[in-house]
Amino acid sequence: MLDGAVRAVEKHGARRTTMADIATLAGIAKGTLYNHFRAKEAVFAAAVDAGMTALTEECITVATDDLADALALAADRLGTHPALRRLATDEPATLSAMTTIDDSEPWERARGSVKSILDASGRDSSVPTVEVVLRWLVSFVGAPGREVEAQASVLVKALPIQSQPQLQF
Amino acid sequence: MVLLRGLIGEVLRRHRQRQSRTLREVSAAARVSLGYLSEVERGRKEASSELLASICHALGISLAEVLREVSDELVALERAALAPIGFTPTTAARTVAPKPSRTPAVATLRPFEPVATPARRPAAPVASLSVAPVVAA
Repeated sequence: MLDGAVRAVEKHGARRTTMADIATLAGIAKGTLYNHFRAKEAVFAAAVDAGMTALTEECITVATDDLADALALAADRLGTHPALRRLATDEPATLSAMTTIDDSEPWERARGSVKSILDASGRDSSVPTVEVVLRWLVSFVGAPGREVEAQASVLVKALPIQSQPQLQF
Repeated sequence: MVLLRGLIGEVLRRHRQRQSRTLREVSAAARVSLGYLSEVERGRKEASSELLASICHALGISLAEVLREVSDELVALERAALAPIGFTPTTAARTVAPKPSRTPAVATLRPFEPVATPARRPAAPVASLSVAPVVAA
């Protein structure tokens, strides 16, 4: 279903995608889709969530080996995501709304993802570090980057190596 | 089920790690995207012959070497699957705990399990048993 949603956006963009499109591309009946989701917005939200979870898992595995690899991988995936690229050309306003970072629940989850990737690499995962990495990654949602791998290396070199000791009061 | 691409990916990753090289280095040398190389290593994507050649070249290993290791691994997995105790604890637990059901619906849920035997464990390896059940986990 979620895969169907991603492919529907890739094909039609978010605004013109209908529940029927999603069902067709997912190879299921429309009724089945409605059993799980009331509207396409709910499907999109679930798809973003699932995509983020999968990417996080992959990056955690890679980060145990090399953090720069993991960050380059995430940036590459976000920058070349077909559905996101479709939005970039057809509905820049939608994409721009998607890249506006705030303190809402989905963004808190994104922070959690970044933190778990940093933790997997054994590097510092304090709030400012997480924020720097998150903002760098989100920039690729907006547009693919150039020399992403080299950027990731630069970023990782600039990040604090060890966890900052927690202050005790 | 053991997939060839999964084994190839494992072997490639092992070689890369043994050389202490990053995905970035090898993907740049092989002229393949880092994301794609990661997927190949994880067995998510089937590498084309051209791509495989180029990754091997980047790693400085021969394709024959990779395929030999893949083959060795496959042999080991097949042997393990055919061993009398080849049923993993989880598989064994599943066959013992629930009453063997005859309904086709349940049967289709476990396509790879050995023929529904009422016995706890077959006395001898089942000759026709494929590699699938054990290595799937």
